[in-house]
Amino acid sequence: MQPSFGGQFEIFSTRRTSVRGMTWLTSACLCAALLLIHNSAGLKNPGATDHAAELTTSLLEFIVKTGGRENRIQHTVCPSLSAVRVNRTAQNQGFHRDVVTEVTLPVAMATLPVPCRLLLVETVPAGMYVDLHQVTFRTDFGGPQVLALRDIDVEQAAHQSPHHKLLLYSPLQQGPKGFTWRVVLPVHLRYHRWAGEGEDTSATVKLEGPDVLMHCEGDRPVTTPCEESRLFPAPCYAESQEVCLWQLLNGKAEPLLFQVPLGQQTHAGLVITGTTVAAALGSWLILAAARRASRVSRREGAKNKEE
Amino acid sequence: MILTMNILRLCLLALGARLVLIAYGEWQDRTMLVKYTDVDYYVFSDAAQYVTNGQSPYNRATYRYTPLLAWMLTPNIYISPVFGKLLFVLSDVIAGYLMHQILLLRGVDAKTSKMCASVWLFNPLPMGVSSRGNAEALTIMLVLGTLYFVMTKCTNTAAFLYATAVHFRIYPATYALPLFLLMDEDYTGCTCNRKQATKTMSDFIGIFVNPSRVQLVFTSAMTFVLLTGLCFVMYGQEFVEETYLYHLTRRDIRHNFSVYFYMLYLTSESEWSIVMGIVTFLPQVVLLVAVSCWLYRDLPFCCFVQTFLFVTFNKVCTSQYFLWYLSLLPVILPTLKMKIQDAVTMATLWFLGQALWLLPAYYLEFQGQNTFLYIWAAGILFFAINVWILIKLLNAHVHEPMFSKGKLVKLNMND
Repeated sequence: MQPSFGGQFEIFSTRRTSVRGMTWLTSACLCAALLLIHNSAGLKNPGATDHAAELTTSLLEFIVKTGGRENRIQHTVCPSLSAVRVNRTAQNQGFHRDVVTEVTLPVAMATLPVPCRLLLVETVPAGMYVDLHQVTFRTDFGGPQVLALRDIDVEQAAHQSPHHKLLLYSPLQQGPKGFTWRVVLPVHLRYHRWAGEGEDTSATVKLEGPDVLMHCEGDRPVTTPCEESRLFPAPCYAESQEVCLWQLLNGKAEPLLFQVPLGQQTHAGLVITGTTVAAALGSWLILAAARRASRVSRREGAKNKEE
Repeated sequence: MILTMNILRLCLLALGARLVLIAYGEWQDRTMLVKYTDVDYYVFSDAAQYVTNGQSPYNRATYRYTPLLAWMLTPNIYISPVFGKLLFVLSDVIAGYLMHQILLLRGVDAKTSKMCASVWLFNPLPMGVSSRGNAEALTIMLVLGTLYFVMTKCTNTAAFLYATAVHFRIYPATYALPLFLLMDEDYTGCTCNRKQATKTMSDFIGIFVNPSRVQLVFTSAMTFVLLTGLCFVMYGQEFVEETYLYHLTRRDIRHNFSVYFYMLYLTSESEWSIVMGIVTFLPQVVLLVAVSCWLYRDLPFCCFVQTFLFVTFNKVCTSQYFLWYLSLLPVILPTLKMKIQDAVTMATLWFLGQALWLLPAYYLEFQGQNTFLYIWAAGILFFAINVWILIKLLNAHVHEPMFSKGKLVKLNMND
């Protein structure tokens, strides 16, 4: 039985390879540089860079936590691409949904000059969670491999949970329209706090479109130079501690909206009264019946005691 | 055919059927997305994996059991992932055997004993639950073992098994009072205290204290302290929180069979929360104490009623809990004077009550419809059905004390 992903990385971290001083220093400097670049680019586009800086910070924290920082960072090459299409739909109804993401690289680049891989970064909002154990089962049936940047509490209610980020790895498939990438991620909506009087009887959970990152192997400068502000460090594969640089692609999907039904305070009067009456009445009736039952004694035994 | 086979052959047959289910489960898990194996079994296995690496089993989220279970399942990692399931189905079958032995001790004839044990051995519910990797069979076996050894008056063995059962699961703790009360002069056979007036404090204590009770309290306390102390030394406060405190203070606002579910959801995070905690706790406590005092002389029946009340009046109720009292049903059947039609009606209503709850629950969980009020109504209805069933069972029960003058009394089966 495979341990959970969190457990797997803890196991790896206890068997660290010896520290390669210069490699670590180089990697650390590069990561620091990336953070600086993202922060300085914020002078031009603050909103996007808040997101970029948050993403870089989360990724770096994860890499450090899982012991990847001793490894050399593998650089990427950046083929020029026109806008990438990202299509998102949600299947099923209710609390358990499948989020289908289709990424299509434009036809003009039907043959990529270098081998490339895709990585989706999902920001799962507080009102929702992904069960990593369930995802592990689905991997055998073509599902993506998923890394969570933080531990996920699957039992907590929405208003007591943070949002969390996931990394989805899946092989690229070649289709008639060019390179496509179809990933199905099972998500679960959390229970939300009840609706007060006059409030909506359902809550809306908004799942933003994912960040699509690409890593292409090859020697620089084969293609156009990479735009530094669009580079992010992340594990190369779900099972490895190697760190790669990934290029953020253009193309953002529309957010998906999910409705979650809520309990209603307008029911409180009826529910509290009804439940209390039922419990009290039930207790009283059972007490009476138990008392009656205890009085039935063995006829011969009763006779013996009287003798 | 069942009646011509002896109990050991019946147990082997039951074991075989469970092994077939395990084999089927392995096949389904490998070939289908929907798993046969229970989610809990993967939790146990993951926790066992942590233990084999020298880490705490509580590193596995939602592992809320004693570390002993994770330790017992380490062969899942070293030998085969199926080991745990084999252990659980074996415990399940042993539980069935113990039911048979308990009934024989009470003077029930072999044929009826075999039939009652078969109600458990060939029941699809425990068969499915154990083969899916649920650990309830372990606690059930320990509880039945306790009853058996009480009946054979091996007080120390009974106390040891009882404390182990309580270490595994909290619900057997409700049997403490009936067990204590049972061990009176009728159990010990000593009539020395009966006629004495209570003049001094020592006379008063003398009425309550006797060698059997001392053995019961001492052995069970020592066993529980040793087991719990060992786990606490190894895993610290996290063990106490996850194994015991979580279950005692659990406030799950997600929908479940409990009659209190919607009320607790709506009063969560409000100033009513503490009052609600008391309101839900009070009926349970009052009923458990009253039933202990009135029905302890027939210990299996008392334990059945205790468990039924515990589950029915609990803040959280899932179908897993039903096995706790269903495992005691075969043992009390001979004490019930009831028509077959009534029994069938009760069983039908019990299943119907669950079905009527599952319908709005399905619409909430899998269709996203706001059916909270319907779920609440169905919860009240299921609660009412359970109360009605318990009252019918209490009315049908012929209460015959198990012990008289220090000896086990056989049931009068001729009425």
